[in-house]
Amino acid sequence: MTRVMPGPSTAAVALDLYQQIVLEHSRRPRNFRRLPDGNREGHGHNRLCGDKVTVYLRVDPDRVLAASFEATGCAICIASASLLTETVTGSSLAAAAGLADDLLNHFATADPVPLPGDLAALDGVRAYPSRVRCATLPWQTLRQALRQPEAGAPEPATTEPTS
Amino acid sequence: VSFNLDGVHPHDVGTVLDQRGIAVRAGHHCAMPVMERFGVPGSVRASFGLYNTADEVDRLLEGLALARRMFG
Repeated sequence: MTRVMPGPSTAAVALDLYQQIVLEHSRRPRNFRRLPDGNREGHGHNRLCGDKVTVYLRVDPDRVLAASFEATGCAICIASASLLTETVTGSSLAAAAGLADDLLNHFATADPVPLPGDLAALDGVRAYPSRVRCATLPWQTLRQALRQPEAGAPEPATTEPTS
Repeated sequence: VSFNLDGVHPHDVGTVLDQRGIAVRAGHHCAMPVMERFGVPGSVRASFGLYNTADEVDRLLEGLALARRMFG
């Protein structure tokens, strides 16, 4: 039977979106747990797709000592959150906040600066506008966690623009 | 037909199928209470019309096998 519309080869399917690092982090997420001695917490919810992310941090006055997360979401969301916890652990609060800004800007501008390290694996998401929020939700949630002086239950971060 | 691949998020299934020229709906379909009832984040929904071909059904199945290999 002849194919009306040949699909891309198996090897080429969506590999720009699902790079090996992304697939690997989604299958085996790092720091996927509640942080029992955490002192900051952010909650994120994308109401459009249903993804939910909680980011837990243990911080001293100016440094992220530990980071973890729990989430329900797609491979992109889980991988992004997993990469986030690896990247911000050990960094200063200012650097972690700056990285969240950089990543969110990266997906919001036409001509972005490259993402550092393994985070560059998320770059392929740019070509899939409907999936950008999967990648950014954990970082919106991190931002919220960093803004909270104490663990509490503020309004969940969303991927919608805030006024 | 509404379904899920065990352990694979419906949006990831949808993207892999999309890349193979198969269009499905994926997600909670604005029916969050139903998804909660079944304990799933969403579902994949394939709808067949008069114009669909057997070849397209084959490609759907191939795409599902691929998604399972990629994310399973």
